[in-house]
Amino acid sequence: MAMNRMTRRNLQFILGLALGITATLILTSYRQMTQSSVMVHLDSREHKSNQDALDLDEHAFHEMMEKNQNIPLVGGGEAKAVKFEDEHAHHDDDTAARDLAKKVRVLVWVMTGPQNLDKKAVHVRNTWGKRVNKLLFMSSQWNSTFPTIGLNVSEGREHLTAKTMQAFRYVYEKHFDEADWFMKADDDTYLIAENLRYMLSSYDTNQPIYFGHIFKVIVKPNGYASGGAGYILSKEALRRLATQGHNTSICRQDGGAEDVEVGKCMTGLGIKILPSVDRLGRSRFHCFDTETHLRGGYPKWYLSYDANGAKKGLDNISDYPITFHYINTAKMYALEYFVYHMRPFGIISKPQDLNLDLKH
Amino acid sequence: MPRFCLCYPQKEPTSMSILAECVSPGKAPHRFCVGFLMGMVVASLIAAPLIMNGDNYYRYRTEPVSHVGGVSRMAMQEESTERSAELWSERSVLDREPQDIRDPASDLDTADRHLHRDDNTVAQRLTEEVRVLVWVMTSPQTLQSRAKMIRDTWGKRTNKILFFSSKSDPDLPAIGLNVTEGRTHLMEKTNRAFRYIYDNHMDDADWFMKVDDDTYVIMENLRYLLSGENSSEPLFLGHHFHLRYRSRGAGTMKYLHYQSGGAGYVISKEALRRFGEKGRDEKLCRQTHGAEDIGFGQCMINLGVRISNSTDVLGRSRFHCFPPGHFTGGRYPSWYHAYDANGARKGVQSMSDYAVTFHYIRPSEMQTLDYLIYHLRPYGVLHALQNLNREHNTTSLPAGHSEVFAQP
Repeated sequence: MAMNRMTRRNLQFILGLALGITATLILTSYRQMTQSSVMVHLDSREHKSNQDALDLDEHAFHEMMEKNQNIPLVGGGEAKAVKFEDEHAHHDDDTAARDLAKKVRVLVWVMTGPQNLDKKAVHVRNTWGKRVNKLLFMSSQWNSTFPTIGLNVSEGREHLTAKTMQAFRYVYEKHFDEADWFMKADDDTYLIAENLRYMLSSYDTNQPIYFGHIFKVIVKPNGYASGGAGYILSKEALRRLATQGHNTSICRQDGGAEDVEVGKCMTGLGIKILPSVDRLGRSRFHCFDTETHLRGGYPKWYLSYDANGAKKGLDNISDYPITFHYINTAKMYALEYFVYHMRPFGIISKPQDLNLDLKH
Repeated sequence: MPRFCLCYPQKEPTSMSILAECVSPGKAPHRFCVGFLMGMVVASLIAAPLIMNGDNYYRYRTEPVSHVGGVSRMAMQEESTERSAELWSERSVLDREPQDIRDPASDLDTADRHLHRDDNTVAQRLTEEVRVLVWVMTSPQTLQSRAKMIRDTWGKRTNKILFFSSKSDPDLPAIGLNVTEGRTHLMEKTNRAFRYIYDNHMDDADWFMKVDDDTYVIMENLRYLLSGENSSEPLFLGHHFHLRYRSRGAGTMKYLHYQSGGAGYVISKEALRRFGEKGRDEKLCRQTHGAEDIGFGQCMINLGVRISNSTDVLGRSRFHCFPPGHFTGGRYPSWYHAYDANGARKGVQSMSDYAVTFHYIRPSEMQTLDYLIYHLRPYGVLHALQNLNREHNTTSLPAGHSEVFAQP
């Protein structure tokens, strides 16, 4: 009898506690909901639930910006697609660029997945994707509308090597004659195709060579190319990879880090990685975004990885850069704006002679 | 009422009787009541921070009727966590140490050793024909980091640049205005700075611009814009804001026009002359307190200075009160839709190719902008000069006395 009473009392207590918590939480969230409904009233456009910083009024917004808490230079996170429709006003003379596009044909395949088509891959297609000779999206699933190619892999970091090997083989089998150079890029890489062609114009695609942002560790003797910064294979390199790359004693078919494994595979097949810096020793492929390379906020591992001394600043990035990495959606459109639209009035930039002098 | 109160099995307890039992003196507190009260306390402690943030709402200036104000939830969960996960998971083979990103803006080498082979003829000519003096509003705390970076980046492209702070600094150099620091003294600071320029530098330029020390200016594009205007006319250009307010007398809704302070604004020689001659009149120009950009804007309007449309011929903005990512990303804070006089365009390229200013630019980002605008280029594309100025660049806005001025 005494036990029963004790248990009943405890039960009452627990019940009371639970109801107390529930009631209070309901009351507070009601308050939150009514306040945010006031916000929605002002602006009838669709808002994501996580408005946060954008919900601040001007003064509070200013305070937040002064503390540099959130919105960086080029914004972050989700962004809406931007349509640039002012080419008619440009009057640019792009003869040299168009000539190069005919002589140095570049096929780029973009590593993506079904979950990233609308978040990332579409922005690639809207921006720099338009400037390569051929653009392919590699995924684990076929999608005829986007379109993407479905490789026989599962999604996930553990299978990037398989995805890469299969992607290159697919390109060799189906598109070998359509291009002179074959590039892998991520869906958060930004590529400036004109500058890529300019660099490649100095080289012979029948040599077994490849280019990228060189990391000098792990793969001996010459290092390997960073995956995120993108890397590009010559015709001969692709031919060897596709026809001899099945050999598992030379090339790992899956697992490991994709760029390291591809690097080991290249070395095993006799394909050389060549420097991609310009004549002034400045980098062209970049495994981070513009600001990181200028400001130098590098993670510590990069200091020992980078073959070019992990330099930073205005003097160490080429005027003809080829790629940047970790470019989110907003940054992609911002880069598009700065590279192809925004310009200082009255300054006509002439072509610079920045390729390496290969004769000496 | 469910039968959960088991202490009194004899009668059916009602809610009132339970409460009565809770509060009636002399009896030991009901277990249930104790539990309930404790539950409320615990939940309040959890929920209190959420409520507190929700009430962080600041009534700014003359509260415009159409602007309800914001509910702030401070930390935007950016993709920073996603991004660092990406950064590190890519390198699955070796150990990595955590990122240590400081902002070593002061260590940056900004010496420009490049020879671009650019053809600068047109830009050079404009520099001589359209002279612009820029004054930068800075402070002792931000002098080293921000003002210095301006001096070393876009400041080099002005005809003349002056830095104004509350205390003078011979190193930068900065002129001391002898005012107290802080947002409440910005009006005074602005007035004093313009007065100093009127007294000492009137002949050094045709146009006079005010910016903050986190504003980035593309001088060539500013001169291009101003080349279509006449500096002998009383003109005022910037990122045009209008505030709706209820007129005190008639009770009707009116618009208060001014230029955003952060985006930078520029006045003609004639406008500066009028300010110099009549700007001390308290009936026309507020001398101290209040928002600097609204106050100065009203002063200009009361002196008969006209606001000129600074958008380009395709209707795109040139002065920007935000960094570029806001416009390309298409996400504005809600107050912006009410303030922006050009309809807060986004989506279909809202920024001009000849943009003039961006605001909220950190020192290291100024270097990035320098790189993107003056160095990075696509090989083989020769940019031609575009015709982006409007035919008739002046919007007529009613000049004359503004009644909102009277409120501090």
